[in-house]
Amino acid sequence: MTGLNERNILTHELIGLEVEVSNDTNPYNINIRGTVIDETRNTFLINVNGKTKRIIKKDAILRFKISEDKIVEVDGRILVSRPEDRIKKRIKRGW
Amino acid sequence: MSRKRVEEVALQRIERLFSLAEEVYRERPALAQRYVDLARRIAMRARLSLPREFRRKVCRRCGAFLVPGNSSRIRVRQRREPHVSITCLRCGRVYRIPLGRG
Repeated sequence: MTGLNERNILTHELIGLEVEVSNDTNPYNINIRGTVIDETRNTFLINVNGKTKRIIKKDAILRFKISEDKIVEVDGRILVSRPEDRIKKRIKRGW
Repeated sequence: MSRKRVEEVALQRIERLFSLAEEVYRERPALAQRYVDLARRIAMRARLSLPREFRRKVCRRCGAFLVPGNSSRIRVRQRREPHVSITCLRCGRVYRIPLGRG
């Protein structure tokens, strides 16, 4: 049907998306902007102008750019799981 | 989530990961390999086989991302049955794609 959208972002691929850290328990991480280059169970690796930053999912709130004019804000806690496990389940909503 | 939905998202993720892998291969082959590994794991989790175009870019034996001229050798062989042979340059495995009679 359609590609990435705000409904399927939780199960979709996040690698390659533009992202901005809108809040984090580590104040130095707030407002980091870049491209997601890798994802582990608990972290994202973000390329920020050539530098690689590791953001801890459960501590951050992230804004993903899902298309030219659409940005979605996601609480990192609901993204905690391995990228290949995220594709299934997740019906319960924690917000 | 319905099976159909899972499949659809899985295919989209696989496509995206492979295109990213091709993009970064030149600069960062290890990252490209990581994307391909992820794509395969997603396929496994969704119980899909990789679509054919991608299946031929991955070694079945060792999982290497096959880039012609770099990590794989592709030859058209005429003798006996005409076929294309693809050799994985990491593990040496040879794949043959028969060419039917043309």
